[in-house]
Amino acid sequence: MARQTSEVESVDAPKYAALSRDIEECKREPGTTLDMLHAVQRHFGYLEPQAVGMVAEALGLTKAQLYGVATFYTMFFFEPKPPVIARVCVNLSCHLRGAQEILHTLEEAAKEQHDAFEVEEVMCLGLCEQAPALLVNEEAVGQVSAEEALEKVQASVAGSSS
Amino acid sequence: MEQICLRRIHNENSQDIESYLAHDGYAALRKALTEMTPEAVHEEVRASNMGGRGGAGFPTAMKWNFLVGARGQPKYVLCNFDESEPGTFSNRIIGEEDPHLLVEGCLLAAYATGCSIIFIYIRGEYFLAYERVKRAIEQAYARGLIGKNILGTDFSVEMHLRRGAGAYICGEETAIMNSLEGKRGYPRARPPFPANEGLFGKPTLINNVETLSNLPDIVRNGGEWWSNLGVNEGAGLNIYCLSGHVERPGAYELPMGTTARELIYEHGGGVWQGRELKAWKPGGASSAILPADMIDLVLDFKPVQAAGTILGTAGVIVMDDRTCVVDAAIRDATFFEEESCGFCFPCRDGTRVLRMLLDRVRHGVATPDTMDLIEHASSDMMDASFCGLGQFAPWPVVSTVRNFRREYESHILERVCPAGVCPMDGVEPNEHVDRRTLQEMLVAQKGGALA
Repeated sequence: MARQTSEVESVDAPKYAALSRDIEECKREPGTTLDMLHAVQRHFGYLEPQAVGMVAEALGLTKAQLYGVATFYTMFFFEPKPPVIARVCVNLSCHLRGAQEILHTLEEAAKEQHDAFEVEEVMCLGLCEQAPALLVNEEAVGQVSAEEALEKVQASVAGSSS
Repeated sequence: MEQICLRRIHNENSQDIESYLAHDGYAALRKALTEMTPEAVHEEVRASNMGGRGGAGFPTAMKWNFLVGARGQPKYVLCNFDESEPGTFSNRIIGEEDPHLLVEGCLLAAYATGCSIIFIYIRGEYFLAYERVKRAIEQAYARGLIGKNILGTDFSVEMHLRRGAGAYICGEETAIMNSLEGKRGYPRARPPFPANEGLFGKPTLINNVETLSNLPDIVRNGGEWWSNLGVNEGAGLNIYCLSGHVERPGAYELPMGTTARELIYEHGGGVWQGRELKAWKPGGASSAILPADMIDLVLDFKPVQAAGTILGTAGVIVMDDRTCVVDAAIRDATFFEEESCGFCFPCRDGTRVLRMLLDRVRHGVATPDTMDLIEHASSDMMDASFCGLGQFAPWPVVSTVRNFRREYESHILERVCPAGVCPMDGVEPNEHVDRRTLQEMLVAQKGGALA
């Protein structure tokens, strides 16, 4: 057990080092708490507890205080996620243009593929003129049928595993 | 037709500083810094009669007055780029396609109001706009357009870009400050107002992206010129965001005071697939759902307010005759339930109750007093919610009860969805809601909170 832990730590060591540099960078300017949390998520894919601890220490907060902040915001994850996340807007403009169909199609496919990607129902993404719209990781995808949306997601899944 | 904020977006490499400089970029900054006093810039904004584009329409020049009179250093400009109102995307387009316009606008606002530090707070989901604004700031720093002694004058300013992380409430002017300070994005009590005690406790000017992006043209051509671009007593141009069941959805920068009919039919190409208009919204989720016969409404702050709702962010959403208004209202109700920050109970519980009531209507299990219950809960929320989110959240719901009463009666009394959209399956989607539950939820807690 102990050996496993140290292996994991050595794999993650460069991530902690990179995070440490980001934290130092952020500390030079005011108002960078969320940026530090974004940095944690960029390196680890979610708010990895030990990394959150590093941010808390840099800010002079307890981990509980920092989690209190982080849990307010929907973009932060508290457990590991698949490499591809599809955020499907379900608000009015997208709803009128077929958002539910996209959501349904992606959710079915995710289930079939044993959660190779994650589907999130999200509030307005500000892509209303391209409705129905979604974000595939950081890429905005709009004016698509459910099938086209799924193709986009599949391509992203294929790209992330190669 | 005259264009201001969207004039450059189709230029090649429009987001690059070279392209911006080749199209009058930073000419207004040069003019302001070398030929105009801060007061003179302020005076042009006063002459423009601009109302803030973030949704409230508060006179920009008057907001600036508060800053000029405020004590404390440093003073901050906080650009509100947390655009999250459903149906609204004008800020995103400016950030993605013409980020230097925003940078220049921020600099002019800082110069006019005596601010030395600028923050731009952009919502977390705007990945591309974030990258482009970030690069624009770097380019402007490299050219000496941000930093110490800009253009050889004694005007110095720093500019920082910060990302949100998913929370609609952070577009509220006090919640955005809490978020930027690294806290949960709860709204603050006012007073103290941001102009006196804002970000980090210092005087802070909070302006929307579109408001700031109009400043370069106001400075270059004069406030009066800008003001005269409006029609029907409107001032300046305004970006109307058009979406939903319309042939050509998009951002249309038109004279302030354009009617909904012109916007939807002349510019947007009419209702999509040649269908009939059934309902529409003038200003994002927070505005009412209006019937088709109000289509000649002038889309400016005052006329829309006189009609009982708000222009807000001018996010106009079109619904055709296949739409069920109950189904439309529950989308907005769900949005507000998700985005209520939970800080005050009228909003936290009220948004949930409204969504629950609508769900019961959709499933054909609503009681005959449902419309009264919606009125009752809405009125409590409007009166007692701590910030604008909860005060405006009931509008999309209660407006459908008032404007489309017959359709509700059909769902509730005849158990029929006229548009054939709602499930109407008799399934109980949630627990029963009646007058007593409402009272327990709202009135009892109100008493508890006051005790």
